[in-house]
Amino acid sequence: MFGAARLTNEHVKAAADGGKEALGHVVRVLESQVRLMIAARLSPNPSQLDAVDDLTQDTLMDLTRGIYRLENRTLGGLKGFVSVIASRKVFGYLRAAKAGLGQLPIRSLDSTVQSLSQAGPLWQFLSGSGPSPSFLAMRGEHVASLMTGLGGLKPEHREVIALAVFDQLGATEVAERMGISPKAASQLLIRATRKLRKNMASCIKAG
Amino acid sequence: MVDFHESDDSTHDLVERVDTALQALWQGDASRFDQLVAEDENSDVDIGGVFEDAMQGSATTGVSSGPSAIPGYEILERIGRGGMGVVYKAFQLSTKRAVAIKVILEGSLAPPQARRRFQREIELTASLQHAGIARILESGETSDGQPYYAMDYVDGVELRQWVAGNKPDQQATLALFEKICDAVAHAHQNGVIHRDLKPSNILVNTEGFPKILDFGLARLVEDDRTLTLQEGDAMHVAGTLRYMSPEQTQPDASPVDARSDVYSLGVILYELLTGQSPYELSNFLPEAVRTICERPPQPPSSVRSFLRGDLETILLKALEKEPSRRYASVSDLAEDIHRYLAGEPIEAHPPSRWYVLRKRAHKNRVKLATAGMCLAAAVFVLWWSMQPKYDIDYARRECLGYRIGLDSDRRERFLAAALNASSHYPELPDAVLLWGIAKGHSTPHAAIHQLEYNRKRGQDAWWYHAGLMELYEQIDRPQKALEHSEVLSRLAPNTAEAWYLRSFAALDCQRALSFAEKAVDCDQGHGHVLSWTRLANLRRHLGDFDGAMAAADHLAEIDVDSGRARWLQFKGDVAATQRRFREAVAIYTEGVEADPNYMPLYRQRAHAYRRLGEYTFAEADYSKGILVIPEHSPYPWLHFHRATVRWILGRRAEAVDDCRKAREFTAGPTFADARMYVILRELERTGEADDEMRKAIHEARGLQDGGWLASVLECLAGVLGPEDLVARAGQDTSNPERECEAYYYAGERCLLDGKVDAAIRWFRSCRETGVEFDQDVMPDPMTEYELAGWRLRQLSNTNTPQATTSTLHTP
Repeated sequence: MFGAARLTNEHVKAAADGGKEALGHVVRVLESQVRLMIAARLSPNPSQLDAVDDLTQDTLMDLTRGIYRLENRTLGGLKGFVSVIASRKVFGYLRAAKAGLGQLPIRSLDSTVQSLSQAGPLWQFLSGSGPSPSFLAMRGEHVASLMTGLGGLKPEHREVIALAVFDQLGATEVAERMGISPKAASQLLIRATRKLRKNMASCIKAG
Repeated sequence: MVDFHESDDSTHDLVERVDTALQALWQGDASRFDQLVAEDENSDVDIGGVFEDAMQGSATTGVSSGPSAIPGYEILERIGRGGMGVVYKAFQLSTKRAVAIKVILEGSLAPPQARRRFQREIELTASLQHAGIARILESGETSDGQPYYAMDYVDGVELRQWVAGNKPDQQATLALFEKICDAVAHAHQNGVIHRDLKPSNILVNTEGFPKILDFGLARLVEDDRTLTLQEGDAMHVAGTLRYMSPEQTQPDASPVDARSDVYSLGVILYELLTGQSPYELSNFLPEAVRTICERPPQPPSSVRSFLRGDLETILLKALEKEPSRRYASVSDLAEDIHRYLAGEPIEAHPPSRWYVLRKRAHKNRVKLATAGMCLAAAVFVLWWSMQPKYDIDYARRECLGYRIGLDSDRRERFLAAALNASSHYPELPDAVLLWGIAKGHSTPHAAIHQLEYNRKRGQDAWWYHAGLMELYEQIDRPQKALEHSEVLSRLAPNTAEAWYLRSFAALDCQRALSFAEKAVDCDQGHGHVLSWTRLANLRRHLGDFDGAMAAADHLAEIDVDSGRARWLQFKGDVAATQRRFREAVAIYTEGVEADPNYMPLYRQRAHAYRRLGEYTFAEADYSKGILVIPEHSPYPWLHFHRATVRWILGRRAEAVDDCRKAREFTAGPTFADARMYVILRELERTGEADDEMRKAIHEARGLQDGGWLASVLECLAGVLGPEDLVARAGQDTSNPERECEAYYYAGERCLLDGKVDAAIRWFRSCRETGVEFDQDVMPDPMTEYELAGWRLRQLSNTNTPQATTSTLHTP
């Protein structure tokens, strides 16, 4: 089980009701997931590795401060809440970066695959702990290729994967967030995943 | 916006299937998601597995073509996963035997680098022919081009499971371990270092024979590539960090050789014999790495007393931090195990006294330097305990107090306090600063990152630059430090509060002092208590005792919260630290006149009288201290101190009563039990002494950190030899007081046995340690050091205490 899937409604309620221990537990459990949520939306290149860390911490801080305002004190409510915070953080970051640099800093990563493979530690960090150093190394490369594949997707494809897979939202919630029907969201998710798989396969062949 | 209320069956079905697949994926089962996406598609990429991999942090195989993909084999079941690949049990059709087949972990996703590593694993393992190493039978590529190899199928279980299931005795465990060593030694002789030895990489077959697996991280001795942790980034601990040698955890890729495997084997043997790890590792990676690199392992005999002696020496030699102090090879380790089993003398020996002293001198320098800070931290702790709630002042005080105590092993508590404060009050500049510095204590880069993060998300406040300037100086980036210094000089106000905060941000004590001096210079009204307190503590810490006294004089006037008595105590302590005990007594007396109900003054004055040899006055002051303490919150150490003094005064029965009170108030065994035992034996109340001792040893063994106390008590009881006690003290090079205690109690043991000459030697050794003060609470006297001097005086007057020859039976 990963991230929010390890939490229960009771955890969420206790944290939202002001339980410090429960809140600490929620934040610890969500930390790795939030990193992936941010990374999946940014598909960062090595120069933006700090941004993933910053936005993750920012998201967790906002969660800590705002969880008591959560009306729907269930796991579903929490996942939606965190998802919205993370999306806003990334959106804000991209807008600021665009304004400051004159161009969107997030690119398809074809040109930086090589650099990514050297950015082991962050990817190890992104993908959480593992059973041995060799696992860490392997997983780092694996996650790097995933991020590369995501970087090559259309924005709506990347968004639907981020919402469904990393934010852990169901088809109906994804649909509401994207302003489409649940059926359309489901179909979009399948199409996006197939496209991602093709991207990754071609990337592997090229590599 | 599209209508959300479509309700035809196909729509509902699709949404439901997607939801079900997603639910399973979040729970760690990617198969349904793969199935959903794979319909009408042909692709080798196991996308659900990739998602699962990213989320779970555990790679899944990409061998989507299934078991029939390997010609000549029938795949039966998946039996495990190694560092580099997934392992299947298979049936080799040509030989009709069971084999294990390992297929590269990423399957079709494996990048070239991983394939090269896998190939290397095959080559290295194939070069090894030993009964204790799983043999490679064949290697090749699956029908879709994925590398694999077939090896002996070991019908057995992992080492830890085997031990749990078979519960071998110590001899059998060591015999098994010797076989493991033989196999690893064979690899070393062929130039292959394993680098990932751990119980899960060792299988034990049904005949009880071990097989080493997974040479996925192995390398040739002459190969200069190393695999180490990267500094500061991966914040969570990988499972096998527990078995990593100190040199493997270092980012500078210091040479990793066969002695790293010696270390890993040492950890494995430690776990096999004690049932627990030699260290308790934090989940916070830098902290865990620090533990591995710096903290001595817990003495095995403190976990299992039967390990005392040769076996403990063997374990501790294998676990030495410096590779040069370990066994030079696994063969040497195996030979010592063999000698032990054969009842022969082992080659390893405990660390020499010179080595122990050298290590202690190094450690002691830091402790001495921070002792002053500890005292101030203790005052703050007392202060916090009186605070009713977590308000902004409380947060501030908590942080500052722990900051003072940072160097004295309160790092984790400080981290928690600072994080708490900075999350509740991000606008509180010292909280933010301190949080950054706290992180900086583990890794300056992480602290810089934290401060930069805070700076970016809020205003560009001067205090961030103060912290960054300090940290960049610490990591030797003068240009960056200068940049922040320039910003700081523009933005930072010239106020007492600002200089006070900068003093706390300073990582160098001298600079911290200069900032504190500027703070009091700016304090026009001379009423900024925090700045003056900081100044007083820093001056004392840096040895400017007159300056500290002057600051304390000023504080005695302005600090209405703490009061004049508290600062007179500070002054008295400064005088006592300088060994000006008569002056200290006069200052404490002034304090007692200012506040007759302030207990620390009586206690400190009693300590000073003890140093002057005026035990009657000391006894009277401890008694007064006991009287002013409320009955509902007794202070057990006053009774302990009074017991010591009463014993010296010859009031033994009263001393025993005090020891009992100290024990009662602490609700557990303490050194008061040791004291009581010796006094009871002098009173010839042997039966009572033995009964109390049995109880105390039993309780001390049950304490989480009671290993040392248990050893002392066992030594007094005759269960542990005096030399063994001293050797055990030498294993903790970070604790100079322990050495002093060991010599003293060794001497007392000898006196109980009637060995006066030996006792004199031990007491002299105790005095030679020079540990006059208890380093944790300067300037409290080190009782054992004092008692050793008293004993020597007694013995030189030939007025020896009555020697007794009976020893206690092992409880």
